[in-house]
Amino acid sequence: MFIPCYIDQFYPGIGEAMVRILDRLGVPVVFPAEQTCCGQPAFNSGYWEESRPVIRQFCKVFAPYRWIISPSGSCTAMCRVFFPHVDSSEEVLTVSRRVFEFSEFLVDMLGVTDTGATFPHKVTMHIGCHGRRELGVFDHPLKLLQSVRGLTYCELPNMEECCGFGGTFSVKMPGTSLAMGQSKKENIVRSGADIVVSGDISCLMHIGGMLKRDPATRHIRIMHLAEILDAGIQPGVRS
Amino acid sequence: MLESASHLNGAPFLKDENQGLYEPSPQFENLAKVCEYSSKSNTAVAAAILYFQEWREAAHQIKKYSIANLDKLLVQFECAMKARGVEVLFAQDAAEANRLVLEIAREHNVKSVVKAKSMVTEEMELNHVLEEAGIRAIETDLGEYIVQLAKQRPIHLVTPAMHFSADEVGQLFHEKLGEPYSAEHAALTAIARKRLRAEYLAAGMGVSGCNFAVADSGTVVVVENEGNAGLSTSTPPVHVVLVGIEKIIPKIDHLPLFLNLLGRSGTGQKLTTYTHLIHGPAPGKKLYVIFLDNGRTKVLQDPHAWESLFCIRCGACLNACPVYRRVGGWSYGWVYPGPIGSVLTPHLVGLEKAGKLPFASSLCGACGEVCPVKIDLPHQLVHLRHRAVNEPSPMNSAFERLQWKLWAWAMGGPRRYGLAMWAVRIGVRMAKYLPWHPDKLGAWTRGRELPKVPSHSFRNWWQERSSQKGKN
Amino acid sequence: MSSRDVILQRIRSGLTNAVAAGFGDLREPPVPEVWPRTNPDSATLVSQFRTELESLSGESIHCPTMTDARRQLAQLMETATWPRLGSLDRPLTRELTADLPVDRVDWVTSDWTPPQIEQLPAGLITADALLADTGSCVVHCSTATERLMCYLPPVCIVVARVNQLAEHLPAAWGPISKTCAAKDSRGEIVLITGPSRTADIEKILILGVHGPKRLVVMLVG
Repeated sequence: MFIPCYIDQFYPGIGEAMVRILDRLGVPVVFPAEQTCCGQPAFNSGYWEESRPVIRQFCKVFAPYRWIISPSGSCTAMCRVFFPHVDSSEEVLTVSRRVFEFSEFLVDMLGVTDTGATFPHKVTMHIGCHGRRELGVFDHPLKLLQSVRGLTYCELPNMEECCGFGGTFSVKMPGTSLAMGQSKKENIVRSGADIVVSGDISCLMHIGGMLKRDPATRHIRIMHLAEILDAGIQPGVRS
Repeated sequence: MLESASHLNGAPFLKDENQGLYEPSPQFENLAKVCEYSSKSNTAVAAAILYFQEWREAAHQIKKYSIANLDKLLVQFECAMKARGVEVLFAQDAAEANRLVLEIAREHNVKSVVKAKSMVTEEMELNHVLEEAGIRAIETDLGEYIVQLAKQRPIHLVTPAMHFSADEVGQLFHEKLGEPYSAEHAALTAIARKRLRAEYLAAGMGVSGCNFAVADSGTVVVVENEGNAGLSTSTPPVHVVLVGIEKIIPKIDHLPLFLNLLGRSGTGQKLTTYTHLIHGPAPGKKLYVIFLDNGRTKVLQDPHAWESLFCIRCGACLNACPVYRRVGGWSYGWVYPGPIGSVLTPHLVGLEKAGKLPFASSLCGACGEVCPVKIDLPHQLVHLRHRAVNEPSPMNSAFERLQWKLWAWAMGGPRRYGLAMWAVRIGVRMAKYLPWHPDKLGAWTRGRELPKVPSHSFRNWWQERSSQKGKN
Repeated sequence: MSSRDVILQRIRSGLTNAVAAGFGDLREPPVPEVWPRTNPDSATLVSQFRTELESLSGESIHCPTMTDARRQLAQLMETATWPRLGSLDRPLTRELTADLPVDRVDWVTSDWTPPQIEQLPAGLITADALLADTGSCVVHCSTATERLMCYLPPVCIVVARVNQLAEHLPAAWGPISKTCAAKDSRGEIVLITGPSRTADIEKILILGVHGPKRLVVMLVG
């Protein structure tokens, strides 16, 4: 498992949920503790030379593993799509190909669309841009969400538009970032959902931060897909 | 309000940092809605075609081949057109192109010029040059006519006056043309029609751009909806075509593909109202074709950047871009707005002036998804970001480089990572006690809450779990 | 060195770098098919053409015989109260206007000036082909007069025979391609798809901004 730094530090529950889900599916999981980061922040800022040692470290740590799963579309995209731009050595390319986003791993590799979860709430889904466009992960989270018992799916208007996070974009161009987030916030309210779910908690940090700031939307919670897929599992259930 | 490339650093957008919460400027509220609608409907039109993805791929390959054989194709085009009595000229830069146009105008005693829409002539600031030489230059595309009267730059590639309400146009026509005020679309259009007809009939020269220059047959292709290009190029005795060297395509038989793509991606139409395939001058008329370099050959030095020359100027990326929708076309500081502008402007004008533009994006990828010639715009943007921090540009910062070096050091191993994260956690906990800072941290907190810092990290949990399992 | 040579040299040197970087070896891509040929029958083509054109606010009149066409033209002129019609001199237009009194048809020749053409209430031209899938008229204009007849008069009437209908642009492409390639071709081929239009003000569609407000296609046969 590749657990991005912000999940490791701020949303450990996502990693925990992922471990439990994979456990139940009989997938042996390992968390190599020497992992640090995929290098995306430096890469997106143009500092490729500075990101190279971080990428190399990543590939060294994960070299022994056949499947590298991450609960983040944007970090996975960095590994699979952008690693080769910085370093096209065999060591890097081999590892780069093996990184998968959590929902695409479940659906495409394991053929699983039902994790046995129950979550009787009104939920809308935000799909992160990197996952959607660089990896083609679009149907996967929706398929998984549809199988959750008791869940009321609320369609998010204008779903395709970016939430405005964009990593360092959120602090380098705050005015525009917040304007985009505002639109996303308005659409979430329009959807009538109480919870916004996504495969990318990075987007949700930004969306959630805005929802919390506004008293009118403070009640709307953010959750990662893994947390919902791990919810309300009856003991002894194997899917 | 006209800005030239020398004012690039002063463009409002590039100073976005502290413009307050929730940006959309009131004048762009309409723009956002219109772009969103256009993008959705045009994408739907394209998606309805079974072959659209194949078309995009085919067009991409043809454009790649065209750039790879640019010199041969230019010569082939020149030969074919010269054989029909067309004068084919070459200009290294905007200044030379302007000189050539002035020479032609003087040779033919031209007092006024009617212009069909051409982005290349905006690069040249041709209207300005003509006016200085005492020649009237009249934009004939309705949107361009409006912004010209208002002395503004176009806000959008395809719909230049998108930000004007009918009421504002009515007032403009009343003030500048002395026409009775009306906010009725049909009446306003009729005013423009009447005024511009007189101009077509009086003009000594018509200037147009060129959507595709076909090499094997020697054909200049111009597409439009209004009929202003048809009139601008057939009424006056002289027609001058300004075209970027990258607009060349190899064969006339490639044209049906590009025509099918351009209409749909640009305006959601199957074909534009008028598609002109111009072979040569009609008897009694003169035709000139001027090819413009203006920095395009520089792009060829970097094979990774070739794709940026594939652009057919449809405007689809603008409509799809969430950033463009909110900041509008002036914020990009030069002729080309939106995602393609953020790529082309640094290439043509230089990173030293335009180095900030590739950073004005969340890299969402919506642009690359809709591009009819499959330019991977997000990849072009990150590639330019890499160049911007390593070459002379406003983004090349020794201080930032140091920060990233420190960060890379911190990410070098689990212990250093642990140390860095401990500092981050403290920083986030303390944030609410720190004074508001416009940069970095403040940029987050002025519109968003920070995440709560949990009591344990995932690593802690995993360690616990592993040691427990070990015990069992 | 002339600018032409400077630019060509810059291109060549830029491209040699590309060859070294492995981008150089590109074979000429094949001409893509764009649309498959389904060869619909005449009635289908007519129906498709008319539907397309009408969706663009163009008008179409289908006349099974020339006699019928002549009658329709007279009707058109009467309804619109045009005192006269300007027409390009072609066998088909001669046939179509044979019934009209001499003073109601002006034969527009090369010596007509643009202001004279501008005064016409309506212009009659022929098409070289019609495209059913887009409702387009393919018009070869080798002289300035022929070009202006497409754009200046406020109403443009195109007369063509039903057997000139092609399924789509690729199906009609052969003769177009040939004309474009020919050394003695002058002027332009214009594909006219509906009346002139703009949405430049608030994206509201208005017809007849510069070119004709009305486009009428008369299909004979």
